[in-house]
Amino acid sequence: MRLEMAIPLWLWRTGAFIISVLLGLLVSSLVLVISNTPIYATYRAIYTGSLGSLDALQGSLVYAEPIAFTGLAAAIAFRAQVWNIGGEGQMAIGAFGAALIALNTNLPDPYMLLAVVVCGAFCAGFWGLLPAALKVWLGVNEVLSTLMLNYVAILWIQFLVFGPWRDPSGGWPYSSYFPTQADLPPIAGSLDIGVIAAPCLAIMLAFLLRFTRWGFEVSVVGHSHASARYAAISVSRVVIQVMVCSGAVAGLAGIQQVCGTAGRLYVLTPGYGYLGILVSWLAGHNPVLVLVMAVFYGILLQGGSALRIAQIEPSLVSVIQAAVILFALAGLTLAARYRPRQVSNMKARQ
Amino acid sequence: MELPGKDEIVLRSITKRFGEIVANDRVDLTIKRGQILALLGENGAGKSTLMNILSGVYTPDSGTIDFEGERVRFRSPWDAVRRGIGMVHQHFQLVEPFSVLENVVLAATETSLLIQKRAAAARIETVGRAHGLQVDPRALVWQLTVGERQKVEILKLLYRGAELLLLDEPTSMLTPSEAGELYKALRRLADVGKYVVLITHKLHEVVAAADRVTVLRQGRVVANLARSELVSADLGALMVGSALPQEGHRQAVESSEQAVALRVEEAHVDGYRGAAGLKGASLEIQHREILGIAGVAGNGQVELAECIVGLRRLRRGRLWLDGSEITRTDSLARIRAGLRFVPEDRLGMGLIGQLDTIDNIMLRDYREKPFRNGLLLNRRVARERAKKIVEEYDVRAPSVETPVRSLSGGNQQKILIGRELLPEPRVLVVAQPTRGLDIAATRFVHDRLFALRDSGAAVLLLSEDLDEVLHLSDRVAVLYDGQVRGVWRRKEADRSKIGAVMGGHFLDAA
Amino acid sequence: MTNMLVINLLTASVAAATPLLLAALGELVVERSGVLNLGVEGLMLMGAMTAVATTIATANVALGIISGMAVGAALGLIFAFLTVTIRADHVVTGLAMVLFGDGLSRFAGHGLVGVDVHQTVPPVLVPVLANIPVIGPVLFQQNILVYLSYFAVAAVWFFLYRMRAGLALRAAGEKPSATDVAGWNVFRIRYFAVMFGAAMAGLAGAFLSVGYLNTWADGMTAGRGWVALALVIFAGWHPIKLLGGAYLFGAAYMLIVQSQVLGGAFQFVSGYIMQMFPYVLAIVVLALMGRRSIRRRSGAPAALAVPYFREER
Repeated sequence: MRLEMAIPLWLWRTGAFIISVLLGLLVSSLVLVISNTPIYATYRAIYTGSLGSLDALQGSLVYAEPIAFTGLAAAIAFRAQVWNIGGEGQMAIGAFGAALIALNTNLPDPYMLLAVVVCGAFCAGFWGLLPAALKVWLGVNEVLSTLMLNYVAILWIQFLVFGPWRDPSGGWPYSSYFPTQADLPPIAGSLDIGVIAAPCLAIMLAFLLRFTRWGFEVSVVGHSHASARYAAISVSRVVIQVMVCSGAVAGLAGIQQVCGTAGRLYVLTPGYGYLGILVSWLAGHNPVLVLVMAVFYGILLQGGSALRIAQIEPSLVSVIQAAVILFALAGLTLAARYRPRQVSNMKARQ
Repeated sequence: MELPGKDEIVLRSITKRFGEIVANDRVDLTIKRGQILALLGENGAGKSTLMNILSGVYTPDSGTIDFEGERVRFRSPWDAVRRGIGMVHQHFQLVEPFSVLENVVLAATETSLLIQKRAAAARIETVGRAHGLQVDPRALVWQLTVGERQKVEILKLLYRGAELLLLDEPTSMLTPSEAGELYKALRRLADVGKYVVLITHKLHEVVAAADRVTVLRQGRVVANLARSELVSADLGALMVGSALPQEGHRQAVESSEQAVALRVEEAHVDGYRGAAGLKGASLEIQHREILGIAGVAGNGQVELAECIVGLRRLRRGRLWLDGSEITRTDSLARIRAGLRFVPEDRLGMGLIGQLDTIDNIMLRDYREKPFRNGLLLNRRVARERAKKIVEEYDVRAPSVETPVRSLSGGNQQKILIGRELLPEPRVLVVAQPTRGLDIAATRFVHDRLFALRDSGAAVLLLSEDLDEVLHLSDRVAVLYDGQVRGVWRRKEADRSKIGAVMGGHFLDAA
Repeated sequence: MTNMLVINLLTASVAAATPLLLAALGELVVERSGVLNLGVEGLMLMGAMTAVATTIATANVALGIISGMAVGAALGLIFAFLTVTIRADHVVTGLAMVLFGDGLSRFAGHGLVGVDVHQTVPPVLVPVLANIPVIGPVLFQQNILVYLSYFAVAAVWFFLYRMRAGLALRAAGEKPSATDVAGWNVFRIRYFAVMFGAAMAGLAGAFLSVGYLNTWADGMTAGRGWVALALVIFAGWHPIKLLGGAYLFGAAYMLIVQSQVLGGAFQFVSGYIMQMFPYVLAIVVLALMGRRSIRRRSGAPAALAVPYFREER
């Protein structure tokens, strides 16, 4: 089915997304009605709590930061049609790498921070290399392998913070505090430098993907392996490079959480890795849009915690999130399949 | 004397259109019980469409089907199956990790809830023995040879009581001895009283196996012959038609440069999707020459093109480009040495549909100046090049930023050819250049190829359209079953001779 | 004394393994049909919450369990609609389902947190079998849902390998085009598979909440849904191996909990490292399967997570 209207594709997609969000909100409102929760008060609380004040905005951005990184990580991989579900684990290993340097050395400023970030990214990149190697040499499905590696990574962190790296002064399960040189410099209130780093990274990625030779190769591999071979591009090489980068960027999310918000190693809040994948998918794997979606998510999450204050059940926000995503999934998939065309293209079949 | 209508399946005046193409044009076909009918034709002759109508996949726009005296209409494949019609497709529909038994039971029409292994195995063995198609029911399909897998496909049909068996190019992936086995099996099936229809483009097959043959060309029946009337040379001509008046072929200018541009020696390549591949193909092209390779699809065209340009590995054999051996060099080196390629898979390989013209122009040359700017891409230059091609080749597109999948086939092909011709190649391999194009676009492409030849390059043309091959080529060869058979100079090229060789009937090469 | 300890450990392992077994068994069927449902965790949570809610409301545990399954099946219907009919991406839809199940269960269940469920599933002694030394108490003094899980393994095995419909389901996961040509409705097969799998996940959650821990708490499945996914791979998509794998994982869970009590060798290896073992093994299994030049026997279903488009046949 092809529509003969002249609607530009971006408008079609955006329209589909907006309609999906509205439908999601509609369904969520039904849930509210059924549970006797006041609709207006709820939405108002979410709004005020996430956007209503500077503090609220800050809170939203704090939530958005790690999601932005994992979202960008997912975007890199999915652009090449590599299904990296391992953001969760790569994030954890990134945190581990950061802690490795922070807890075991005493470098001065600014080398400490540099070393921490480099080590974290390197370790996380390695965690992305493993499933890539398995895929390229043994044909292992990366969805399954990255999923498994997530658990290994999370368990490794748990092992460390409950065991050898546990803070001796009691409060478990955390490691000792990192030396202050390893903390991310703050920007305003509770926001750290990550808030600037993420957009910079997004712009860099967008540039990389659009204007460099490597970015072109990633795009070609993502669209068609046959065309890639035709263009003499090694699909294996690109897959490995992409996974290493993706892992490293996801690692930044982990580094940000242990060096920024917490200041020590702990078992990271589960879910940011998977949220990153969803966010990237909604953004069509476009780095700049990923930022937008991550902020959108940050607002939802912040709104959720604000509900507690308003004496409304905070998990409602998860329901809204999920309803929106499910509708967006259906809407965007359908929009992609039944897109409007400029020229009718009839192929005769023999 | 047979009762009229009984023991016969009669198709009358079947017509089927797809858009503007008439795939079947008032086709009459009579299939008699106990006889093997061969349906002969080239690609696009309408054989597959006709068979899809018989097996219920398509409904005809007009015409009737009488099954043993009874008017029938199939609304779905299941209707046809219930009538006892079964088709063995060219690409097998078997589940490889399963056993023969499991595949047969999967397709069976029984309604039992349980798999009755022993009963089914016994029945498979019985049916197999009765028709000379023995296969071990417990064997796993992935372990079977192609010939054995085909037996399983036929067994599937017989197991569920098929009376009419349609076989689509059944020997395309078989060895000659396996093919011989198949003919014997088909003979046994006919003798037992089944209806057998064999779809093929191979002339010797018709001679070897068929009791009667119906020849299709461009959707119409052009001949209906009984075994006694078969003379193969005539068949070739019937299949490809008599010579059409040709527009001016541009004669190559005789030049002193007679160096060999491309040489292939005894190339052996594994087949595509289990097909035959190349079995010792050899050819030579000189500069300022177009060598046209005719042949029905599936005889090794894709494999030949891909191994020359480096996308497919040679099992055996050697290649030379301008005198230097390129057998071991990778595809990038070959591109850089001046060997360009227009693949037959336009949107699957040659172009990326979701990307625009600019990106597609850069597809193969993004590493070279001027597209390259250090680590970056120079999109500005690419845009200029794209605009140049659009202008020069008269590509109708809303803009250079439109994704190419929105363009018509003709325009896509222009972009593809424009891109490959831009770096002034020494040798161009081009496959199915005008497939799906209208007359104007076709003429345009042909002009470009002539111009390329005149500028000193060598062109290897692979085309299923014999008219095109004859129009463009300075020399003509035929690819049949993985080997290059028969090479003719333009003056000696004779349609019926070539048609015969395309059908596998080899004469002494001219 | 140690004997008693081992028997108690094994008994507890069986109970701990059962939710894993039930969820993994369901997911096995789903994946065999060619669909990848990563949403098991969310489905289990919804099943758990619904079971508790219904049990408290109706004071009937059986109804609670059935409602858990029903909710699972309903969510499965949504998932099937998205992946099979709309042909949305399996992975993203699965992740969205986890989010949905987690969120909705938290929201709808917040009034139930910590509430004691008085109606529980009582242990049932199987008359003769329970007296077999060692095995008796371990396997046959469990509650009825555990027995159901034994039955379920056998039933799934029988269905997949002895019934025509099961054959068709497996074929749909390997080569949907051949299954279509053979006359089966691939879409209907996948719908049923997905709903079955989701119902099983709901059942697993229900067992967890009203048959085992007797309470509801946010996120109480604690990753068991993800473990179930690993289990399916680890078992090479085969129900009998799944049984073994599930008990192995269950024992691992128990060892972690009991490692202090047991002492000895278990003191040295951290429980967390031990828990890694099954996941690493699953990866090894995947790598080995990939290695076989023809990974036909215990490989992933060839058409896993690929939406079926009839036109492309």
